[in-house]
Amino acid sequence: MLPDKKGFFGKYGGKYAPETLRAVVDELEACYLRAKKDPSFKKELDYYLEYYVGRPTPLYRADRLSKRYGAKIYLKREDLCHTGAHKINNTMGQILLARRMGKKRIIAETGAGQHGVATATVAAMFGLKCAVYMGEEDIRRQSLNVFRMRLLGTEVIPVTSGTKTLKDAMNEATRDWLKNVDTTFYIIGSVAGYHPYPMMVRDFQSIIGREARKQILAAEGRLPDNVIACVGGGSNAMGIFYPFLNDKSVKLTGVEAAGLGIKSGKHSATLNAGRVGVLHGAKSIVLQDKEGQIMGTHSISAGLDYPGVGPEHAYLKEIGRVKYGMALDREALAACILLSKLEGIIPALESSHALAYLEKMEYRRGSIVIVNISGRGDKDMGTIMEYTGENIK
Amino acid sequence: MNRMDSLKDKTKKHLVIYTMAGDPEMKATETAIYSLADAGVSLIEIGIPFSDPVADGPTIQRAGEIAIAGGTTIANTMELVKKVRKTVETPMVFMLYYNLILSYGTEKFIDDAIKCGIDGAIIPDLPFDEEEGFYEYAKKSGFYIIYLVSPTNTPSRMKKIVEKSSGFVYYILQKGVTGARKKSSGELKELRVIKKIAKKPVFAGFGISTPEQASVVANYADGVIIGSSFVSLVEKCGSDMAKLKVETGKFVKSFLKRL
Repeated sequence: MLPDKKGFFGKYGGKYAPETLRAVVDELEACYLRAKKDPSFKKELDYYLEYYVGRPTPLYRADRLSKRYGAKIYLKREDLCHTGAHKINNTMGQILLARRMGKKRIIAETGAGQHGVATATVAAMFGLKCAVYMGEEDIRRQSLNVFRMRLLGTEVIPVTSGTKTLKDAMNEATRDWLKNVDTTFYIIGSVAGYHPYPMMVRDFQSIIGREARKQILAAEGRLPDNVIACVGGGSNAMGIFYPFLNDKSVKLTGVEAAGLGIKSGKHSATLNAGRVGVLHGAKSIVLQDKEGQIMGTHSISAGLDYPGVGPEHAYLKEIGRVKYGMALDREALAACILLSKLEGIIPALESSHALAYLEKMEYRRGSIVIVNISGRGDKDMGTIMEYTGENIK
Repeated sequence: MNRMDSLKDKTKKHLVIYTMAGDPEMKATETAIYSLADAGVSLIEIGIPFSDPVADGPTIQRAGEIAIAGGTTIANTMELVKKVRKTVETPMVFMLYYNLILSYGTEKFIDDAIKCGIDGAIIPDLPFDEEEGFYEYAKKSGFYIIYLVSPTNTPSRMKKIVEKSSGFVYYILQKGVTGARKKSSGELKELRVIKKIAKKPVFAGFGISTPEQASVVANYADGVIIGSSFVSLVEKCGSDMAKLKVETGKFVKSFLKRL
């Protein structure tokens, strides 16, 4: 069972935390491990997931998409979760822990704004004060989500340091936490950060894979041949992959954002182009220059625009269990448009990277493929209009 | 022998000053080091800039951004240390984030740091119980790794950190990041506890910006660490090296007088 006691997946993971945070991170770990064994915690979480989040989400057989690729393609509809993305599976779990720990204030970082909205939502529902850190650049790209968070009663704090995107929002949230560690719970949105976050977020997200596994067995009577998900920090991918890890016949593929291409230097393909480093509390693969400075990243989708990746993904790549491919900005955009026209589903640009990978695969007759639609695309209308013009054909 | 063994001297309170390498240029760092040594500080902390300094407040963040933009690296900071070491006897340590060391090569970092005349390192995001191999190699090499203790640490963890830290123990005076605070009494009660268990010097930092604050803290600690307020002074002097030299002397004196 991974991670080990110190939070490592092989050589990746750990608790590279400033000492001021150590006590609270240890306390969180203990609280989570207790909750995990406590039937009343599971009952409470299951209740909210069913009646508030809207789970289980459907596993939808996309017939027109299937016809195009000559394989049976199923979509795991995380876009149908309350708030429009998988992020709330995790924020719901973490806020229940925050309540158990008696914390009165919630903070979070956000890139695309989906994790911010999912955090603001559960904070509103439980009546907790909430502040979300968001890079100035992302605030510009995702103004709709900024307004949603404010409407939900959350304070959105613009981050102007560094590259003004997700990594810097995470830095600022960490600084806030250092200052207010006694009162504040930090809801990290990805399978990144200090142990126990990568494990805990994976566990909360793995409901995606558990449902999908059961649903495909019910629909097809067998396991899928492929499961595909996009990878930024990697929470939706970890969530859908995890319950399939022991099913050796199931090929798992994570798709990173290649942006304008690896050679252009404008991408977020951490596992494809990075090397070992320590960022935001864990040892993993990190995009960095030759001196070890963390690099600025680029992706058409704000949610994939991150120079790190969860340590478990680094491990799964190293042992060869998961393959990590890439999709360019324009490939993701094309996949987004294609799904919209063929299936009447507008996916998030993040999820569109997973869909773009369908173009690159080879299919055997009768192959079954599951693609995780991690979120819906409403938030991306501004970006898509910028790329295509308003008179999209 | 490590130069930092001089910090065990109990006849005085020690003053430690932090300066960011390459902020706003290496020439300023060189001037600052000579001036700090001349003025009688006990230890000079040389910061090496990192793109994501989570433990630092706005002052040091800004200095780091300037330093990175100017091309500051571990290698050229070591070059500078090698040069000033010809005349400066004051102990010097690096303060930097772990990713830079990992990228440089952990053992090579220790070897090269010792070669250029650096006595140890403070790494705010490396707890004592990660990277066992790095710790062992430093110990074998006589290179001091200074660990930080926070007022939020549990007593048992505090004890372990104190045991493992070399040269001195860095006490984080208050929660939060580096940089000036208006009210800076800090968590002095915990400091007393640590003083009781530590058989090595305990220096306090984070949030001390004035000689008055330093003098209060020095009633409890063996020394005080000043970072952001000196970085602000360097920023004010810009490229005026003569001014930097004079102002540094005055700055150090104002603190030493109250310790």
